[in-house]
Amino acid sequence: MGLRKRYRLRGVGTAVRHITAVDDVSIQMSVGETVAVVGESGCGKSTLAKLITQLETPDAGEMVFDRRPVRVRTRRERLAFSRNVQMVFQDPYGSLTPHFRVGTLVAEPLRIHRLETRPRLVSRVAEVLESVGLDAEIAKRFPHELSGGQRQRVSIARASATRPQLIVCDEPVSALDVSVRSQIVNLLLDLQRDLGLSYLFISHDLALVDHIADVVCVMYLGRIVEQAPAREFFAAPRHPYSRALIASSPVPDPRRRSPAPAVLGAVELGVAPAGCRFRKRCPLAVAICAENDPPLHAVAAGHLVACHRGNEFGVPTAFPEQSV
Amino acid sequence: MLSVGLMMLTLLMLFTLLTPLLVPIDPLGISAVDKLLPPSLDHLLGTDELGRDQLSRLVVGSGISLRIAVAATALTAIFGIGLGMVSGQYPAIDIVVSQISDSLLIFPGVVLAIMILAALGPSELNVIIAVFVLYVPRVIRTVRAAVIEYRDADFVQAARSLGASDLRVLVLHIFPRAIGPTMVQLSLGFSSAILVEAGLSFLGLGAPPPAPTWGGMISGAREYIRTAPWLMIAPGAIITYAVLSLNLIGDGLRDMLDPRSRAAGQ
Repeated sequence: MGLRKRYRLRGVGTAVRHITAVDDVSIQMSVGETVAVVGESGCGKSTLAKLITQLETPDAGEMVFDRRPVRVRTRRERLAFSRNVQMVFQDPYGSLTPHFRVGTLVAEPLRIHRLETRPRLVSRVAEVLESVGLDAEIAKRFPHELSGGQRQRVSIARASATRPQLIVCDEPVSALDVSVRSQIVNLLLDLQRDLGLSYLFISHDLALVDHIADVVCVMYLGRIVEQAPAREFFAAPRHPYSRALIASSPVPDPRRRSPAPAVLGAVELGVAPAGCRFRKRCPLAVAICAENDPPLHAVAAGHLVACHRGNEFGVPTAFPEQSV
Repeated sequence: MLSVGLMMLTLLMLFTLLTPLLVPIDPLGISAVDKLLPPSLDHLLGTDELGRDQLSRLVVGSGISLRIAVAATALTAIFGIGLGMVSGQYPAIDIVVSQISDSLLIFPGVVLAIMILAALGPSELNVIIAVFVLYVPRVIRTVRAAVIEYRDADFVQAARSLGASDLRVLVLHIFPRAIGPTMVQLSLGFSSAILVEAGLSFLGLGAPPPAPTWGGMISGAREYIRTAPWLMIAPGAIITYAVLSLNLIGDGLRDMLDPRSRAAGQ
């Protein structure tokens, strides 16, 4: 059983409705690996991030870390876990406590986990700040005095201060100016090399994912619909939704016209139709799609897809619809 | 506004603390010969119907008033902030705390205070309890609202993901965001405490006689308003002064801490 999370919808009516934000999601990661989770808004990416960092409790399913099931019932368990699994948030403006100075913010994980004695704390904070490319002088400033890129560096400094094994990055660069995005991405890659980090990288920027990910997972309405090594994913996506995502990501070439929309309509959040949850928007849907929900199954080594017709397309690069 | 209020409050405290050093204070000394004297050099604010020095009574009364208000406000701050944080954080506790504090808010303020003193009997301690019960729900609500507002904020989630405990998150990350509105409530509560204390002692429910209280002095002066109006004017003026200074502080704090009303004031 993968991770599952349902939220109760608050309404005026008498009927209690739930929305299943994350539905039976299983992801395996190796040390030093970057797994990217992509999908459109509302597909459950951020909920997945909160489940993995144990900010939310899953309704079903279990997480295994270092061969042991994760338990965070007691304070000691929570500390042991959070020391190893950290998170970087999307919004660099909201994710730093506004009344803390940068030095206090960066010292906080060290204090919580008692990793440094008080006299050593200041110099350790300076080290951590320098490791993310910030001047140690910045410790005296407040978050509102920093630029977006600097704030995200502070967030990364906080997340990496305890030398975790896994950092969950929830769209860490999508709120930043394009000009500083690559700097932050390169910082993440440098840290990965230096500290042997693994990243679970949530994004909707496929060009970025192509650049950094080892494995790509595509989420749709709370479910993983395709999971593949990055190279294979971009060369031969199997799920029609993955193909649509790739087709819709912009290409810097003015002669290439943007292709015709490869999916139909917009997603109805939380309302998965019977059968395949993608079928109402799928240009390839056939009768069986309305009857059975396709399970995630292997089509090649390490390549999983949840589509009845996922086998039909060995190595196609273009959509049949695209030529129309 | 804030600085004027703080200055006025400081003057009141200096008056309370320093006057006994400058003039002989004897709030209880009865003298049939000296009764109902108008202000003079011997008795700067005159004497009451029992020949007691009004200035002495006013100074001692202001000590009682401030003591009660400070004690009640301190209690309100401790319990209001504590319960507010806990009930904002834990929905199960919130149900109990909010039901009780909301039902206390139903009663018109002074009526509730009268009920409490009627049940407990008049004494300084019971006035403190009554004022506390009257104002603690407001502080609970203010703190609770701030906790709920920031409970799911990104910076709180970020702190939690670092491994911060509930207590750490509440005290260091969330509560500082609530200090402004809480200070406003507490300063307004302080001024209301003085007013409620005066009202209760006016009704004979405050510190029992012969302790000189501002409310009690006004109450006793009613019969002599035509013949000795200074008996009423002095305690009336000082109550107005105290409440005004604290309301100025409260409004000043609110303007300082709320960017919207600061912009509107300019």
